[in-house]
Amino acid sequence: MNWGGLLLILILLSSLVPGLIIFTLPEKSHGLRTLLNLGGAGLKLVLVLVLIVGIFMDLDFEFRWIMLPGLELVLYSDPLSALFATLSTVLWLLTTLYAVGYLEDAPNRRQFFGYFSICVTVTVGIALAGNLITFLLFYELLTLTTYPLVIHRGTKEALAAGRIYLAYTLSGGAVILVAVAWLQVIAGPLEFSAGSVLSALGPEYKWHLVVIFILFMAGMGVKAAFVPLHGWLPRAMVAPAPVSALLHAVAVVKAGIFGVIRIVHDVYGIEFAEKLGLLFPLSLVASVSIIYGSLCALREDDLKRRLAYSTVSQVSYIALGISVAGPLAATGGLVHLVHQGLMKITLFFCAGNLAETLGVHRISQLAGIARRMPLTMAAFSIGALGMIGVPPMVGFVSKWYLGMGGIDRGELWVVGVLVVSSLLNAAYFLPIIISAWFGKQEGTWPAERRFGRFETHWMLLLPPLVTAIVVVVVGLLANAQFSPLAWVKFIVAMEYPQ
Amino acid sequence: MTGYETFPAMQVLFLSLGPGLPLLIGFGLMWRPLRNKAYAMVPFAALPALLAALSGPSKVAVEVPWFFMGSMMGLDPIGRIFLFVTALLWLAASLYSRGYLAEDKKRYRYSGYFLVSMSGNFGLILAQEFLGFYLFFSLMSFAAYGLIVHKETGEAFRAGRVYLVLVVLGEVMLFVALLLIASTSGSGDFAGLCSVGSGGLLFALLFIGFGIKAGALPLHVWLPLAHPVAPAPASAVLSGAMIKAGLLGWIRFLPHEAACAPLWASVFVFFGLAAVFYGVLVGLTQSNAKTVLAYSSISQMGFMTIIIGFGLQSPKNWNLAAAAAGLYGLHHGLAKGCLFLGAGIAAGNRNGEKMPWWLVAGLWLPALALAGFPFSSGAIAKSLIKEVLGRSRGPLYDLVYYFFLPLGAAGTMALLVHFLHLAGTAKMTERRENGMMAFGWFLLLVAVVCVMWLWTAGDLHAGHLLSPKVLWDGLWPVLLGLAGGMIWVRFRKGSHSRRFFMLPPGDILELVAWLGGKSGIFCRNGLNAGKTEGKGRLLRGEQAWAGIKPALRLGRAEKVLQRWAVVAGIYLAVFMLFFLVFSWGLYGFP
Repeated sequence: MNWGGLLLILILLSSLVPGLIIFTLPEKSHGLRTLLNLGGAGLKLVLVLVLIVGIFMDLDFEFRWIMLPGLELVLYSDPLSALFATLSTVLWLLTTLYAVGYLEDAPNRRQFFGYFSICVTVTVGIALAGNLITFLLFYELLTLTTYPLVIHRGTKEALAAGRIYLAYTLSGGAVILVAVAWLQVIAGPLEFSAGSVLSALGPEYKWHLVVIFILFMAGMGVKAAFVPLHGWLPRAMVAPAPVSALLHAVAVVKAGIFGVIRIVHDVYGIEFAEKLGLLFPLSLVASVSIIYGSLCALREDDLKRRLAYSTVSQVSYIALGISVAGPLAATGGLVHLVHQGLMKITLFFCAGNLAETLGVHRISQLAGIARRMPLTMAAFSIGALGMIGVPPMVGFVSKWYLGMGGIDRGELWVVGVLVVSSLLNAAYFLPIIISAWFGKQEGTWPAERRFGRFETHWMLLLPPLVTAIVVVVVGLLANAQFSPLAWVKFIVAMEYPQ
Repeated sequence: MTGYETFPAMQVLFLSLGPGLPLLIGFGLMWRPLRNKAYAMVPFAALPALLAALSGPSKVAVEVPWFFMGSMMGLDPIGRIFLFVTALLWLAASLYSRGYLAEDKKRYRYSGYFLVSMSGNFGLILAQEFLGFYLFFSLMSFAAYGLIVHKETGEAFRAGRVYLVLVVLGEVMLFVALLLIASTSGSGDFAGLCSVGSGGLLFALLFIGFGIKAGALPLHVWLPLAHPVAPAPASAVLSGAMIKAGLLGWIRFLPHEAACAPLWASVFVFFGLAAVFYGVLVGLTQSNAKTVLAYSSISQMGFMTIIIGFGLQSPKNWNLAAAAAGLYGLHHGLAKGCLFLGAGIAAGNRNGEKMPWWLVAGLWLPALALAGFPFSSGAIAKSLIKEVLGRSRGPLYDLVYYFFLPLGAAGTMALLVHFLHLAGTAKMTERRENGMMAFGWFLLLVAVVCVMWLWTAGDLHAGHLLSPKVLWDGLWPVLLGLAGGMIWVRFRKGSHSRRFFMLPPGDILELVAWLGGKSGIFCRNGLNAGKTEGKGRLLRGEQAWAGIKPALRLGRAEKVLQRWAVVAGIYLAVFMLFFLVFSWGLYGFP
């Protein structure tokens, strides 16, 4: 085994081992558990940074292990997987900190943090998967490890939501399994690094490939929450806030959309997928999701549910970007993978803070809340304005490239979708901001708690502040050399050679 | 970078501190230990921008490729005019605010929004490429909301709501316009932008997008709502400085060498003319002094729209027209800012007390200037318009030159007589003036008298302005307006039908809200909510806020969709159908 492969294994182990140890620790050993959690997350971050430097230096990272003849476990890293792995790892560190603060004194923390750590292992596994089999393996594992987190509270509502979550995601997984098996039969084992081998297949396979693509999209579409497969997402909002942050920004939804990118870019290849006429329907599905999700968000009064519908809308920007299929649109789509994660995690952290500190869950209870929690609401406002696409927040950068990409390809309707979506985003985010900053508090907060000298526990306050600052700074430095945008341009330049 | 001179270090400092210092002080306000120190610094926030406007070479720019999407900041002659008037207004307003809000508990919050709007306003003038302009334009537009709703009354929230809806619409339109510009012109700076021709869509987007800010008809509805409810210094900068951002936007963005410009030139002239007289006529029916000033601003922005229209007629007119519009903006910004600050002082006058002579004089002076009284800044501004008009001939030109321009000046005067009457008789609604307020106001008053002369001293034909014919041309509309205004005031006072002559502030907005309510597009009270509430609070339920009824019955659809079996069936079927149909349509069956 080479050094590159070892690094990939270490990246996975850095959270798997702490997770397994946490399961063996007694419930009470809070300090050690926190140390393991944060230590693992920190170590993983360092390792991923090494990986990025390595990719920059054009080194190869690959690990192979033959499970069965014809079934090979492959880990490898290209710039796209590094993008996803970095996003997950960075946000993971913050989410872990947040979760430690959030679950202080809650029961069953051993179980929670155990699954929590394994979850990041699996997510990074999805990022680093080098072929379809490996991808599918981690993809299914993700379902299984997030389920205990969704039902963590153990209430009737949580269990019901968990059942729906399992039903959706397992069915989605089964559909993908069929697709993978079918593809394996007609094309042999597929590696992402090999480029598009499918285009070499004879024309008699055309219909196979079309149907397989549909199966892939239907399967991935569950986790990516394409309308109408998004039903599980708003229901899963009963989970604790760090889990919601995880579902929306770091792991599950992102894994789905990452799968879509892999299938379109690395299995079919943009050119071939377009030749088969597969991309335009995908862009329609994405557009419908964008607008429908926003409309649903508009009518929710529950803050977290509104954010959930907003995710349905925002994640489809990514699908729209890659399916419009030009270098500019793809840049907008891929960079939104990072940008949406940053903004959405900020919003969920803040929603969690409001619920945890004041017991506020509904938008109609928010009047004047910024006077009590100014920093939290400042972070929330930055995230929300970013979602609307107000410069200089990162959301604007995504929308700009998506719009440019649409015009570049002569698809002006893409700009229309962006316009409608921005207006709807404004309609459901601005009232929250205004009510929070300018409204007058009525009565007392439902369940107020005091945490030390800040407006809330510092572990709850720090993560959203950090991500909100990152949302602004990354937007302001979009054109700098080490921004996500620059990295995405690097990826796109490989995908669309001039 | 051609045409720009190299950059002296002092200028870099001033330019970056221009938008930077207000933001820094704003951050200071947020942090409690620094709060009082930062608050003391607020009046100095506009100084670097003012110094930048007054120093350095005539055309400078610096590129900052790593900032935002690659940006360029600098000053050109047009930008210098805007930066000067803007900085001076913000300076005067921040001095005035200091006294005006001395006992207001919410003064820190006000100062925060004030500083952020200021930063945006300076930044958009300094931006030399369009994304930078858009960045600061958004910053200013959103932050100004905090100034409009400062008093937190139902009326303030209603005004804020209307303002914000229009801001968001404008933002989105500009976004699309920028996309069109960026995709047709390779470079991002304004120099490479003149020759873009994207047809009517781009013009329409720019006209509406910036027209919202500039108060162009029929997008002016936020002005008469926002100005009376905002604190006096905030109204002064809104009307004097911030609406000029729309004008600057037109100057910067309109592709004036495009082939379709003549049509749009007429559109600008037509809407400008309409605004000039519409503002006067509706303004005359108003009974709040600051609302009248808002309508006067709509009317005055009409003059600037006309100038832009004549500039669009042919590329060789453009530079002169842009400069004239800028200078007209300078004149109007100072005079209108001065009137708003003066109106605030007048409103603090005790009931029944006779206004002191200096206040009367200080209100009449900018009013006469706005109407173009001989020797005032308005006379210079009017002569600039005539110079632009002189470049083009034709029936439109004759009509505007000999008929509409003098009539517009008379209307302006009549409207301001109405304003002066209202200001003199208003009940005490504001705090009594103090030293800081008077200082800020006086600063603008001095500026109204002398700035325009100093600025144009180099290239004005003073002798020309002194010829008897020109003097008479300037004088008679003012006299006509004075007489008309006096008669109107008399008539209004005596008339029993006074109520008949009252239009609600925001005029056509009422019509829209009524139609919308009738047809079921808006929720009950969607746009009217808060109007009659008196000391209202923010409305519950953001549906009323957004004003638009979710027409779709999404609830039921969502319930059905959450059943897994239903979904799976529908989805596979629909997806399959999609792909089959499209693949078939594209390639036929295999």
